[in-house]
Amino acid sequence: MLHFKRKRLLAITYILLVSLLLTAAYMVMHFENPERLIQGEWVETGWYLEKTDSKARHSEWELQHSLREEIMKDLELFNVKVWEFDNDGTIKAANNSLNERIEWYIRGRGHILQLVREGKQLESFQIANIDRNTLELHLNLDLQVRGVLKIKLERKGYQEDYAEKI
Amino acid sequence: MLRKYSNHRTVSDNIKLGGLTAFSAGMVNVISVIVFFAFTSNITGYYAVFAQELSKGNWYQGAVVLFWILLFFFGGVISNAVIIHGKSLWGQYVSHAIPVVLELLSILFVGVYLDFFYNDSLQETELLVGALLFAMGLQNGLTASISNSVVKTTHLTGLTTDLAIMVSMFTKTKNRQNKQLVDKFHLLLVILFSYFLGGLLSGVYYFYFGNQTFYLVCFVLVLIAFFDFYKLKRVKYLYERRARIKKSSYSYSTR
Repeated sequence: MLHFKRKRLLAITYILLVSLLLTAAYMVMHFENPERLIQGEWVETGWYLEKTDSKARHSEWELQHSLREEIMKDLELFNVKVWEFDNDGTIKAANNSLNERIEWYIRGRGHILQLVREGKQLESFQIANIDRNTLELHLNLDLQVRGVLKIKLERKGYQEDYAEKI
Repeated sequence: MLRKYSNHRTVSDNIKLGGLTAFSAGMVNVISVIVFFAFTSNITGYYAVFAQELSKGNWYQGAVVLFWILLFFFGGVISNAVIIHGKSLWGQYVSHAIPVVLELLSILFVGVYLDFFYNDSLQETELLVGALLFAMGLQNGLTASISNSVVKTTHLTGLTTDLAIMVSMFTKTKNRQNKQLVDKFHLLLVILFSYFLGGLLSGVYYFYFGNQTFYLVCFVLVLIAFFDFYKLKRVKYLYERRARIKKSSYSYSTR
């Protein structure tokens, strides 16, 4: 009797494990993934340092404006505040100010955004959060004392849609 | 290296197996980080990431991590199943070599896919990382199974802990003279350095030859799988030659 129960338990375990594998595989194949979610236009809403000067908390954006310029001096793309991820795998400035072709790729388990120019990595960001309307990117700075840089973006038109709904 | 099982294995067998498999695991791990931004020779961190993604409500990312963990798991299941059921069907050596051949095929698949079909999409990346984790599951299952859990080569957390324990044990003279402990220490050191060297070589090789690094890993696996085949053939050849010489000298003396 005990033997039968163990056999049944074993069968249930096997079925459970295979079902888990198949479910996970199905989700990987068919669920909305970061690669599809990121496509479209995103507007920057803020840049934040993980560790800021306590005195300057009230003017965080102003404080970081010069830092933003410094970090992104090689990235022409970021001189505009709207990022457009095209479905052909390229990234465009909303005002067409980009002269070069920059490609974007989502890596890892969908948690890395990699920007590539002429086959060489330009920058890679960690995708801390992504849903239909908000996107938060983290960038590791060489300035260890400041921690990571957080860039928050919203899908273009999200605020207007939200206001209209209200 | 492959044909012996459990307690019948010598220290030399374990060192060869541990060294070569750790070397290939180090190569696979580094190249997967370079190409896919994901580790593939260990899954400890993925359990934490899985919990973290679920807690954040990232179901897709959670599913990806679960998929990878399960592929590593099923690699180990298949490896051990082939070893325990295949012995009576194909003999010990062949049943031990099959997981290595399956691992080789998985890695070869990744290399060929990257060279000819890869479109750099996330879905492809996740499946290819899964294939590498499956390969590492196969390898870890094989080494742990045939060496009675003495050799584990795809992750170094436990190994570093064991090394630390041994280093502290060697502060006692009695332990330094214990051959079993010293042999184990040597085995762990070989695994550690092989893993590191494999990773280093893989990184440098990728810099010059790109995705062909996967074929280099396959070559190392061919060495692992066929080392004993060559040894068996050679022993057989020497045995037969000795028997022939004995026979001819016997017939000569009876004339």
